[in-house]
Amino acid sequence: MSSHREAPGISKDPVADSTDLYAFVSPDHPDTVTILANYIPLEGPAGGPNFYEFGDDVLYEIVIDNDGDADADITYQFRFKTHVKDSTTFLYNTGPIGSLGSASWNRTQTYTITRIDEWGHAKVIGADLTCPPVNIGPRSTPDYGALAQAAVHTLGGGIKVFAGQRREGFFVDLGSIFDLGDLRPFQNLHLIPTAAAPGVDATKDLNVHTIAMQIPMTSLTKGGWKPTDPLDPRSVIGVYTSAHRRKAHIRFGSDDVESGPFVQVSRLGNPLVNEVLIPMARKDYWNGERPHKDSQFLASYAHPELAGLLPVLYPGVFPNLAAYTKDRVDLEAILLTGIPAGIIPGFQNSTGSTAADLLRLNMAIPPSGSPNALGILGGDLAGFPNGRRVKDDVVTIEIRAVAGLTIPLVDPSFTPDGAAGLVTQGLTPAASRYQATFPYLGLPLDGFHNPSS
Amino acid sequence: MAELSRRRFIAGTAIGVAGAAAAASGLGAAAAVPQLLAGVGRAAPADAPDLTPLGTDVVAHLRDASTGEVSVMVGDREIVYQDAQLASRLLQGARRATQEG
Repeated sequence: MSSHREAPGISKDPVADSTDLYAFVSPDHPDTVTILANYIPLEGPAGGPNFYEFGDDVLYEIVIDNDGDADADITYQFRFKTHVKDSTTFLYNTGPIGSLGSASWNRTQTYTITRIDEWGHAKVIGADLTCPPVNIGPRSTPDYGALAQAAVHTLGGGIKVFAGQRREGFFVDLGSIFDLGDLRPFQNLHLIPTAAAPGVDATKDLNVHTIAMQIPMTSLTKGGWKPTDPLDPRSVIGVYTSAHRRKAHIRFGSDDVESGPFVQVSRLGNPLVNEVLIPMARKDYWNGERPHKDSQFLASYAHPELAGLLPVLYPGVFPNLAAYTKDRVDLEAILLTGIPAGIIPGFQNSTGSTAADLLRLNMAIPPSGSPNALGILGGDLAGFPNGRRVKDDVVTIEIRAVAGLTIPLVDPSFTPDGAAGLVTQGLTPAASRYQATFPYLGLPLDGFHNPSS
Repeated sequence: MAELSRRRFIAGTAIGVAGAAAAASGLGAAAAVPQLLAGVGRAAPADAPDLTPLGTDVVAHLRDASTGEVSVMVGDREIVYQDAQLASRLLQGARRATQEG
């Protein structure tokens, strides 16, 4: 999974488990950037009677680096508060929810957004903002689209926000890929072979909780500069999301005590990094570290375990990869520092030499008129790893990169194996999982029509 | 532990490795915590401790009994300092808890 249940500790704390992070130039508002931070993995639509919601006891953050030091220059903090109108009923809703102010909606959630600048000055930019309900079914949420749209709030400075349930946009053949690295379209070549088959999308009928922001670019750059030149370092921002819990939590069954500073328990920049590159024993530690300290994990990028496994799991398919013993400088650049100028004509998304897991977006690259799900590997500079769009096939992109397809970017003497450019998880998600406007992930599936997802 | 100290005194189980914690409500704290936290702040004389409630919970953690290193958490703040007397009182309470357990 991109970052769903990616570490042993955080897998037991789904409310604080970041699952995906997206950052892209908004296709319908190209002077803005959309950032989506998803939490709560693998939500079955029929999740009642206590439906999924954000954690009141979790501090969620979206962090922006805009000066190349891999540390926070702008931080958006989100704090949620749950409200119960009638504590005598067990019901989430006592009748149809026709509006966000419906008296029938018993358990609601609001949130506050605070912006913190690089000097630590905090300013509340949105308070008492309403989340939508979850999508229950035709009796409880008969016009869910209207409820969700009403929960898109416009703040000062042209910022749009939404926080609530959406349909899962990340697609992956979860069932096969963790069955000893099987890719169904190529499983006839696997060490334990079976007949080749189409991929199976494990997340197509699931939901997730999304924190979404659409922010004018000039509010993200240092000094309000407007990015126009892709080769200007100021055009690049690094983004990550993190979740934090109080240092002390003393349980009494109810009325618990929480105190002390917030401690980071989850973070996410690039997809699949903690999932695939970081060894199991260090995954929760990785989650607790800030990105600017990621040089300590350099060995996991330089010699990724998966690159060693592919030639073993697919005998004879990756001989050039098997023979390659140099550090994977290509992966270090793509995932830890950004791609410097001079490698891909007209493009760079470098944030300097500090190794950090940040999702790097060159905001001067305009949205693509015909997006390619393989992003830069498919010749589309507006896609991953230049930020990440909701439809980008990050699983296939990263498998191909790890398989050696990107090594020639930094080492022209290497010839990738033919398979490195062909491997795929074999999935094309349905268009209905997405929408063309903010927040771009589709409406969540309801539990009535999807009772067994 | 006796119920009277349920919200007000929590003894860590890892006494042998110097783990003990205390939680204090700012409202109507009972006997255990004032005794335990008598050394905090040092602003008031020992015979007249300042027990003015803060209106929020206070959590103390004995980080290292051998050095008397204690952290006190309140709100979103944490202060770490050395207080051998406080550490000693926390250990005293912790030993009592294990004996009563």
